[in-house]
Amino acid sequence: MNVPIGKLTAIGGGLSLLLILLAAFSPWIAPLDPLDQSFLTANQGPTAEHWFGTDAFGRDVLSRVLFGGRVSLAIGILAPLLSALAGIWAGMLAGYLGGWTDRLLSRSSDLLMSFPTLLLGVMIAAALGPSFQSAVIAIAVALFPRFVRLSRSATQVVRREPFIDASIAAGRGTASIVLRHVLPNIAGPLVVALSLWIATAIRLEAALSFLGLGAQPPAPSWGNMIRDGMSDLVGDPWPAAFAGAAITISVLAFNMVGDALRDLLDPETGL
Amino acid sequence: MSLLEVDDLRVHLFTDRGVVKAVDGVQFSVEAGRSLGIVGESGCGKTMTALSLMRLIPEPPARIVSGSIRFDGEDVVTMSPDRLRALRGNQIAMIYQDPMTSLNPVFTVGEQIAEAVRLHRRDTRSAAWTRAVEVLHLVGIPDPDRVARAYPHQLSGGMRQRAVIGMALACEPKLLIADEPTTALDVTIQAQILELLRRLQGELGTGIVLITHDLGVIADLVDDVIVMYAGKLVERAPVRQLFAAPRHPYTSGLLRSVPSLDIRERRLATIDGTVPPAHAMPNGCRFNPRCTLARDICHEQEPPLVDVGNGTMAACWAPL
Repeated sequence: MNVPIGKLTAIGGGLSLLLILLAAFSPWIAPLDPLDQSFLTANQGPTAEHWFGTDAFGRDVLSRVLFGGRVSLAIGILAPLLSALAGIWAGMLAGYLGGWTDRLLSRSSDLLMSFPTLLLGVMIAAALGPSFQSAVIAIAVALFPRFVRLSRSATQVVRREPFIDASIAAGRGTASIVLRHVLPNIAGPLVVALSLWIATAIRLEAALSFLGLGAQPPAPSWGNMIRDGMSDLVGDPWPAAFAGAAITISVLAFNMVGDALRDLLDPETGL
Repeated sequence: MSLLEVDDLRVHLFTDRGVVKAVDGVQFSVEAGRSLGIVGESGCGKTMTALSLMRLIPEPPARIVSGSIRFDGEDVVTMSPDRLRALRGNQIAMIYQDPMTSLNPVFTVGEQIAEAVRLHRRDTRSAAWTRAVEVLHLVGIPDPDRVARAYPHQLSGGMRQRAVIGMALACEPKLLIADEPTTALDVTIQAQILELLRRLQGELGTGIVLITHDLGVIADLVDDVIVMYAGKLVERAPVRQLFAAPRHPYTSGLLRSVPSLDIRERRLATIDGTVPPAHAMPNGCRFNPRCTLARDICHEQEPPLVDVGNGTMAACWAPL
């Protein structure tokens, strides 16, 4: 891509931040109550009163997209963060210690990896029963092996650096080496991966709630808005269209952040 | 009592393809404030020997199968991990070959030295920082305040190696192990670093174990030398004695293969043959296939390390 890195970072970062702020402050921004039903105004296209139109129950789509963002983005950000927290440690231990620790952790994450991410998420969410928490857990578990793999392989590279041997020779213990010497040196690729997987998690959340496994109606989320809109896609396409657009824009925004960070942190193209 | 006494050290590598005797019965000692050089070609076991002194050998596959390493009277071989950690960096410090990668790229030089200090001393952050600047000054870095705040990539190779040496000396260790400390540096910087090590040894009374394949470095810095070949100690002598009158044919071969500025237009002497592979060591003296003086006994029995006069010990049936 020939877009200047600075510009891409600014656009992606700005857009992501804007989306997060809109979602966070939706109770103050949203023009109407997202749960307020009215048969008089059902299935309308965009009007001066309802900018994004209304759904089959006459609820304001703009307000629902804003409130839905709270759920979708919260799950989309929280799940990868949890996953990163656990996966990065597991990967660093596996990569640093090697031997049986590595075999155990690597094989169990390979086992998880052998399921397609979405399928694994669906299985876990279905087993736990549909709710906000189980969507978070399902997505976190589905992404966990990816963080393990990435931090393990990055750690294995750093592990061979002479400054690690030097710090063992200086009398440092394993925990302190991993925390002080390994983590700062592998943080770059992990931050990139985190922002890319936030985009993935937003898609996964949408898929889960589309299947009815995420946040439960009547509370809006982008995924369940699309599902509700599916029943009358020809008569009133607006709820599904705007929710879909919201998903697309957030996935794009977080991917842009990831790409920009990767270019920034890559020593070959870095500044 | 010597500062360091190594007796009958054997380090074996347990690999899938069999046991490799990387270090096979090495003994030497280092007095406080003295220096010892370990020379030999790649793979002779000199680095394994050096790493064993702090139990830094990669376990597995390596293991110290017998022998003792007494440091200040305490045996490193049987030491507990906690005691070992307290020893490393504090009493015995190590300098590695490559100054480019011995420092963590994400922290400043000062932070790293200060941290090394705080690992072993209950200093405050600011006291440790002061100490870091102090050791940078000690190793001859101009403007140590500025260098302490610099990241490794902002310094030249020579400066970095000075910083690494400074870091090693920050806790005033009694013994400094230097594994090829000048190999990665160009010759003028090499001379400066050797000069620095010599000066520090004089000022601080640190014992030094220097591992190198460069005989010039040995001649410059150390008091005594041990020569290793295929995991065995073949000769031990005071440095002048070794250069003036080597007793083991291998040592003599090594010395003849050093290029000299005085003799022109001479093809550089080499030792014929190569080091035998680790799993196919010859019977008797391990050097016999390459030795021009080998007799029958050399093929049959391993020569013991014996006193051959003038403070020299050699493991050879027919010392020169």
